[in-house]
Amino acid sequence: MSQEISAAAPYTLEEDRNQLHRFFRWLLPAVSAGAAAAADLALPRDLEQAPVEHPYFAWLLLLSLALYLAASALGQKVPRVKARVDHLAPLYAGITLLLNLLNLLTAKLGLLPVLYFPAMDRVLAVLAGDPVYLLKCMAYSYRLLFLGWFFGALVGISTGILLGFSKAANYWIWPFIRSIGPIPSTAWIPLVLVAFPSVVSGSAFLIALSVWFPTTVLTASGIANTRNSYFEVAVTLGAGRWYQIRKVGIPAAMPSVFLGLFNGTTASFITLVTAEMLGAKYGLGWYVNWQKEMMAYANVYAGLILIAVSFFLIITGLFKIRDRILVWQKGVIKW
Amino acid sequence: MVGSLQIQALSRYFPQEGKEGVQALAKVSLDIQPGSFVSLIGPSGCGKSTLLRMISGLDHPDEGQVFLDGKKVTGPGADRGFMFQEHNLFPWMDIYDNVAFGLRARNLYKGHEQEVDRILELVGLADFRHSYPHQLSGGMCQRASLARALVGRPKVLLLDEPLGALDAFTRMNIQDEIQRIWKQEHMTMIMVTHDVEEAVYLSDVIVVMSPRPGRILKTLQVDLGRPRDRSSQDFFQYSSEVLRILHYGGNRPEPEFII
Repeated sequence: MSQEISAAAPYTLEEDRNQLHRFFRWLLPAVSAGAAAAADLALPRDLEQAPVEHPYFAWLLLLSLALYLAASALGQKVPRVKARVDHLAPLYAGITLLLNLLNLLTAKLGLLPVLYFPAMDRVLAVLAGDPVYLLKCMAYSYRLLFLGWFFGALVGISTGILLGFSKAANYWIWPFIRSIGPIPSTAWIPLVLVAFPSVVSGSAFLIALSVWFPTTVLTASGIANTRNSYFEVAVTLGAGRWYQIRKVGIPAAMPSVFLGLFNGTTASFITLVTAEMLGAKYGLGWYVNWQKEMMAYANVYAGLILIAVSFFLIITGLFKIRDRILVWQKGVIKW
Repeated sequence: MVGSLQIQALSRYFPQEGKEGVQALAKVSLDIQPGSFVSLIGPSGCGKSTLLRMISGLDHPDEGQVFLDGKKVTGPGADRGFMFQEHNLFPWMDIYDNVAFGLRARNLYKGHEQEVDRILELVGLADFRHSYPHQLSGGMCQRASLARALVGRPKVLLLDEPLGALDAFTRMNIQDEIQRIWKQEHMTMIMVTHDVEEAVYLSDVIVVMSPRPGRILKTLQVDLGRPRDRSSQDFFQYSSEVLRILHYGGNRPEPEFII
């Protein structure tokens, strides 16, 4: 009898503790966002910081808090949402705390040089102030990026396949790729300026070049590293050369192809931002550079935020596509 | 009945850099009856796998030739299925697509979809058609690999130590399945093995080979009814006979054949 009690008691205690723990975990983001908003609204602005029309930072905090509460409410109905909210709650609380500290350092205390570290309210005011203009810049950047990326990836994969399967191509083309490929694509700018009819086509070419090289090399290496026994299986099953290339060589190389595309994509971001400094009229890279020269650092940060968000979304999209195509890899290879 | 093989004086020499090369096969001749089950057995380096690869057309002889139903073998073809030691399933295809590969590669899939289902049923993988290879056990993968080799109804099925990497119980299960399929499909099967018991259990004819140079020591008819009893006196006598030939055949007994 006494044994039963002693066995049951710690169990309920632990259960209680777990529930309490979960509740605090859930509360963290709300506390963090509430504290940040309160600090922002209650404390006086550092006098060196230029005044802003609205308290954008506090608005952003309240908006994110409202979203968090809405997601939590939805989580009561949908377990998948709840798991996601539970997982992200501490991260969200941490990021909010970081922003809070940054806000105190810049807007409230003015401990950092005001010219280079404007208050977040001012950065947000730039984003809210002229969204159409910024969207236009984004659209120009995206157009250039996708144009260059698409052709670079297309030619890169094709060259890689050719190198992977044809000995003659390997003999004749590989030396060129080895010597030309490693040149940073921005080093071609002087040539591109005279060789291309327009800035857009020239910039797209540079982006394509930066995607092309890693994609080619990794596609070719993926095919070269395919187990020979896969081709032997295919040939004993009566597959012709084209069928082997299409159904064995290329799928086997796909993980490597995506590795090349990821490398190429990050390289293309660098090239994009640099290429836009060539004399573009719009574009995020151009915008950041222009605003820097005007010493408008709030605008520079706004541009950087848009670049970060854009590239984050593009990389995430690429990951999603990869997961879909390489569903067979789950549990086999992880990177 | 189709699936007869005439192997005529096959020789194969593998040159090695800086060293004397290896005579993998020296004038090996063999007649294989249609619909029979033949095992090639012998120590490492006796050329049994080389012989099998030349029948499949994956490797080419320096001298001699192979005829399948009177037609000279010049390269790989779907009339000779090949099952490898490793399952070699394509990891990017599910089991169904792996098994259907041969039909699709030869543009025979349309109108023969039920053949894929039949073969999956035959090897007991019908419920796993949508699984990927990495989700299955080693034995199931080997079954799928057998199914893939069977699907075009080849005249001859070549098995290159396909069960070598499996545990003893799984191996015996799949041996029974191979035997069942062999009876049901009426095809010639040629299996390379290291396992004397496996050879005696499955074969009509055991071809005992020896290395340096690779040649046939003896072809042994196994006159036992089926299914065979692994623990019977007759079974034991055939196993001992194979071992005896191998011991006298090699310079010294190979450790892998001591039971």
